[in-house]
Formats: sequence, C-alpha cells, structure tokens
Amino acid sequence: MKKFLFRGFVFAIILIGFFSLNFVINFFIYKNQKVYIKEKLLIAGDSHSKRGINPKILGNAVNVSQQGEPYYITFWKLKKMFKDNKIDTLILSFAPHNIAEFNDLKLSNERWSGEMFKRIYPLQEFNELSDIDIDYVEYYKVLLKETGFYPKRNHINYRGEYFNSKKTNLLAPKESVEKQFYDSGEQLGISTVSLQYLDSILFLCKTYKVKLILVSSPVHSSYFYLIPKPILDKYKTLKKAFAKRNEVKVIDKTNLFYPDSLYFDVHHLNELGATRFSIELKEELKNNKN
Amino acid sequence: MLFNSIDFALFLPVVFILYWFVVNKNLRLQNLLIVLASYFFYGWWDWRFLALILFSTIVDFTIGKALKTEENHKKRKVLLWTSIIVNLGFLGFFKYYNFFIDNFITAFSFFGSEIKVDSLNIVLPVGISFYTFQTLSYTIDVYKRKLEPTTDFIAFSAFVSFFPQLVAGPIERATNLLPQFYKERKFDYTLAVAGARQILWGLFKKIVIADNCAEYANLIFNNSSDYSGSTLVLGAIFFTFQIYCDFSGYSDIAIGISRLFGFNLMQNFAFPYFSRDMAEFWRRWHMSLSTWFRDYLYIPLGGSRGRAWMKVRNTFIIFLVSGFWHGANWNFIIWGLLNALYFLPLLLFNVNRNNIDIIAKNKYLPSFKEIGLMLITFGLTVFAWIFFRAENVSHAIHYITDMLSSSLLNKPKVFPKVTLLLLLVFVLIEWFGREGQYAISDLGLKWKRPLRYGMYYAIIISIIWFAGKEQEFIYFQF
Repeated sequence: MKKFLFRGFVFAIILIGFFSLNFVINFFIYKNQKVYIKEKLLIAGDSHSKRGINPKILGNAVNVSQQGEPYYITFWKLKKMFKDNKIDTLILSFAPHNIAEFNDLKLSNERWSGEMFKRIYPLQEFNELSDIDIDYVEYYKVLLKETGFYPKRNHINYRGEYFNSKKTNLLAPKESVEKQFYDSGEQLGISTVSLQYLDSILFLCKTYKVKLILVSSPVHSSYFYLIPKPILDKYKTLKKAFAKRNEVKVIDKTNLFYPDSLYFDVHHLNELGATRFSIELKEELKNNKN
Repeated sequence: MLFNSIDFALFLPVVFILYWFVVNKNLRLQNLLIVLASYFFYGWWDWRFLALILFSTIVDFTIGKALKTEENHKKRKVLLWTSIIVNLGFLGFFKYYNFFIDNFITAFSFFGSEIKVDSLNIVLPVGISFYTFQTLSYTIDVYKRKLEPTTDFIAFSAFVSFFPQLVAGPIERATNLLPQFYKERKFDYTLAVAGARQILWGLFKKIVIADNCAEYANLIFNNSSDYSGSTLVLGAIFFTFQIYCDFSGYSDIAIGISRLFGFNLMQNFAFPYFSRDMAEFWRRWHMSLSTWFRDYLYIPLGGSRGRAWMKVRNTFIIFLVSGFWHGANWNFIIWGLLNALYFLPLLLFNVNRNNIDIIAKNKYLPSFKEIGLMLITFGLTVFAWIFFRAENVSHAIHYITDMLSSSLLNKPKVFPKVTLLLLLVFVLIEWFGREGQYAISDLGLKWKRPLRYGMYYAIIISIIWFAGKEQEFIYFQF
C-alpha cells in the first residue's frame, strides 16, 4: 500500500509540476505581452461591429470586435489596448442586445463559456464580476489547456478582426431573437452589469482622452420588431442620455432597414451591407468633425 | 455522480483512504463502508432512488434466507416467483408503464375507440435495469442450489449496491461477486496498479473517443435530412464508436475501480468490432447481459437444442427481450429483431461457434478473408445501431433511405479530420492489444518505469487536450 501511494504521489507530483511550470512561464508571458495597434481608430464590440464595420473603408482603423462579446470583456480588452497604444477614437457596438441580460450568462452558458474563457484568461478580472455566474470548472479546464502544456508565445485570443461574407439568409428571425433575449423560453431583462461596464468604458475613454462613438448597425425589420419592448425602451432611454453628453456620440441605425440583399442574416450585415454602412458611417463622422 | 466528474474525483480517494486505512482490519466494517459509500453514490443522483434499491435488497435477502430452509418444491417456486415479480414489477413500472399505455391507446384508436388513460411523469431510477438483474441472478442461483444463500445482510447489500458497477454494470453474478465480500481483502499492489491502468484507459475511451464522436453523431443524426448519404454513413460510424467507447469505457472504469478495492469483476467487452460474424459479436459485446440472458432465459427455454422452430423461437425471444431491456421504444425492439435475423442463419446452419478465439491470434495482421468477414459484421452492426440512435422508427427509416440514396457517393459535408485520426489511432491500439483484457492491459508492463510513466502521461495529456464536450454515459438511460 505504501509503495502504491508513494509511487502514485511521485507520479502525480511530476505531472502537477509539469503543468505548474508551464502555467507559470505562460503567466509571465501573457501578463507582459503587449497588443500593438498602429491605427488611431479602434472598432470594438461584438458580431454586429465585427461584420458591420469594414476598417479599410474608414481608413487608419482596426476592428478588434469578436462574436458574442459582452461589455465587461470589451472593457478588459480596451484597458489593455489603451495602455499599450495611442488611440484617438473608439467606435463601440451599441445595440439593444448589448444591454440584454443574456450577456450575463456568457461565462456560465455551455454554448459560450468555453470560447469566452479562451479569449479572456490573460485579462480576466473575475473578482470585479460579483453579479455574474462564472463556471469556474470550465474556466480552469480552459486555463489548463491554454497554459499547462507548453510555453506559448502568443496568448492574444482577444483581438478580433473584421470578417464577413456575401451570403444572405433571412430565415428564422424568431430563433435569432430567442437566442439573444430569452433563456429556456423565458424573456430576459436588462443587464445591470452591461450598463455598469458601458459606463466604465465611457470613463476609460475619458481617462485616456479617446473619443467614444456608440454605433448600432442596421438590423432586418423581421428581427427588429421582435425585440422585447422593455429592452428597446431602455435602449432608447440610454441613447437619449448619451446623446446629451459631450464626450459621447451616438449613431443609431438599428431600424434603418437596408434592402434584404445587404444582410448576412436577420441581425448582421453581409459584405455589401457592411460596405454601404461603413461608407455612410465615414461620411457621418466626417460631417461631425466639420 | 459521473466517473469523469470533480465530485467523483473527490469521493473516490476519500472512500479509498477510509477503506484501506480506517476499516481495513475488520471485514464487516469494510463491507459496511462499501454499502454506505454506494448508497451515498446512488443517492447523489436522486435520494428517492435509495428506497427502491433498499426494498429490492431486503426482499431478495429475505427470499434467499427462506429458500435456504424451504424444501418443498412448490413453495420454493413461489418464493422465486415472488422475487421475479417484485424485481421485474419495479422495472416494468418505472421503465415500461408509459410505453404500454401509449401503445394501448394507439391500438384502441386503430379500432376506432378513443380511450383516455393518463401517462405518468415517472422518473426512471438510474441503474434499475442493472441492479434488478443482478439481484435476480442471486435468487435464481439460490433457487437452483448453485449458490449458498447468505445470512450476512451487510455483505448482500454491498453486493447489490456496489458503487463501481451499480448504475451501468457489468451485471455481476452472485456466484462471482458475493463470495468476494466474505473474504478479507488485503491490499494487492499488482491488482491496484492494473486497476489504475484500466481506469486510465476507460477515461480515454469515454472522454476522448466517445465524447468527440458524440458531437458529430448528434450533429448528423439531429439534422439528418440536411446531409448526404456519405455524411449519414459517417454519422452512423461515429455513433458506433460512441456507444462502444462510452459503454466499454464505463465498464473499464468500473472494473478498474473495483480492483482498487480488491475486487475482480467480470470482463464486459472483448473487442466486439473485430468479430468475424454476429454470433462472435454477441459473445464479445456487453457480455454480462448476454450471458445473463443466455443462462436465465435462453437455456431454460431450451436454448439451441430441439427442433428448428424452437431454436428460431428462442432466438427471437432473447433478442427481442434484449432490445426491450434497453428501452421502452419500438426502435430498440427493431434493433433486437435485426440482430435476431443476423444471428439466426448462423445458428440454423450450425456455424455460430466457428470463431471462438480472438481474430488473428498470435499474429500481427488478419488474413484477407478475416478482413472481409470483419467488415461485413461491422457493417451489419453499424446498420442496426441506426435504429438504436434514431429518435423513432420513422427517423431511422428516413435516415437509412437518405443514406442509401445517390448522394452516398458525394463528398461528406462533415469530415472532422482530428476526430477521424483519433479513431484510427484508437482502432490500432485496440487491434494490437486485442489479446488482453483491455487494449493496454499488457502494454508497457516490461518497459522501464520512466518509459511506462511516459505512456501514462501521454494518455493523460491526450485526455485533457482532446477532451470532447462532456456527454452523459449512454447506458445511464437504461
């Protein structure tokens, strides 16, 4: 028995030692890793800005948006990016779904949590997120997989990029709305955490003297009219409140309703739609400057 | 709690330490610890299930004791049938009540009558199909005087509820497992190491192979109308490996854990996908259940003796009951029926015992004939598994029709290279380890320790790295 326990202990210690060493090395790598951005205009947010705003059209811009990204993750990202670079302007995705409670489930929802943890482990500030359920078991599994096996040079999984396609599929608007505003059939409310972090992003921009522009790209009418009223009302209230603030500009084109052929699906623009929207956005930014 | 969960990872060492350090000097206490740990393990699923297993234990223990003293043949039969009715009654109610009600209503409506009988919201107790058969083996063997009934309630409770094999087998015979509870267990280093190795291999099969295959099997089966015939073939193959690795992986973990506690359970799988005919397949697949049916149903019915019509009848009964055991669903019955049709020609032409030894024994490679026979047997098995996995009979038929359409020659839409490569590596490991109890049972035993440890580390790292999305063990639903 002693022989079994001793050998088991040695076996386990070697394995734990191997993982720990890699973890420590990777920890130092990602804590000191910088994100270099030479452009002055930063586009951040979720899939709406990822697909909807083409940085090449805006010029001197980079799109770091990622699918499904809630504001607390955007905040952590921006803290790092602002610290390491000189950014003049931030275009942030701001649409009704960005303030929906579904965003609070992304660190515990089976569909999203693995992907989110893979992106944020170098940046996470879970101790600040007291109102959100976090699947720590899944988090540590991801952390082990990302940092436990070998020293990795690149831990920047949180830098997104513009991505689109020319396809159009306007089927299933109800399913799309259900994914973003409902959980197991129950309508979700407003996410106070998202609102808090939106405020934090505002404050961060003020601190780093970054001009903040909140942008919502057009969605299809079949999706728009299914958005739950409480969320739409809150969104409109927020929009009005932000519009009064000098340091923020709001460009809301949610219900602009482009032709069907410009949509990738009921709430994302396709390549053609993104081109049109980016041109219009550029024009609007130029007019505002003047 | 699942074997591959954090809860179990905490539970097992605690029980292990208590078993070998606290209660090791006293056999009764060791058995009592097994009972308490097993009831805790079972109650973790749902505490309400405990009453059922306790009642079943008390009934069969009492009947066993009564059979010890009862000499009157008729009264002995009554006692036996009491045990059978109680055990199968519970199983029948929890598992089959709604099935019979629904089909009863359908049958009546076929004749133009509408009857209203409410189906019940019945929770199926985990493992009921397994432990009821296990306790039945006890009363039947005691009745047949093959086994001396026990007067030790603790030992008997431990036998019924033994946690490694409680919820998904192997279905142990009382003649094998119960006597192990009478003997003092001394820690055996070789047995414990063998157990740990088998647990590791079982986890690899379940987490790496089964869970990864499940992702694609589910994707393809749940959206089968969207895919070409070639993709549907892949879906069926993924399910074939999912169910094998899931179930045999669980059995390996169960057997491995038992070895850590000094117990030897029966082998449940013996590389069934390398079988050369369906008779061999059924000698290698879920052996604890197939031998149970053979010994307690097939042989009492006459087995393969007697006239041809009797052989046919007995074969159909066994396979249909086997299908029905898996679930209250026409899919499983058709799956059983298909297997009966596969098996019958071999039985009737008396070639069902042609392939007893493992294929290509003491050789590296099989002959071309053996490869051909393996592929045919594998193909028949994959075909039958479609019924097992499909939502219902109609889905299975559509799946097969779409699979065998002209799109069979199209390039598959779903072609996960990494999973397919893992499958290939797995099949090779199984092939080269096919003469052992499980694929890596003899692997590395003669190597130097650093190399052997390196092999274990490689398996552990691949389990963590290639872990598929966690899926429940398939056989828990039975």
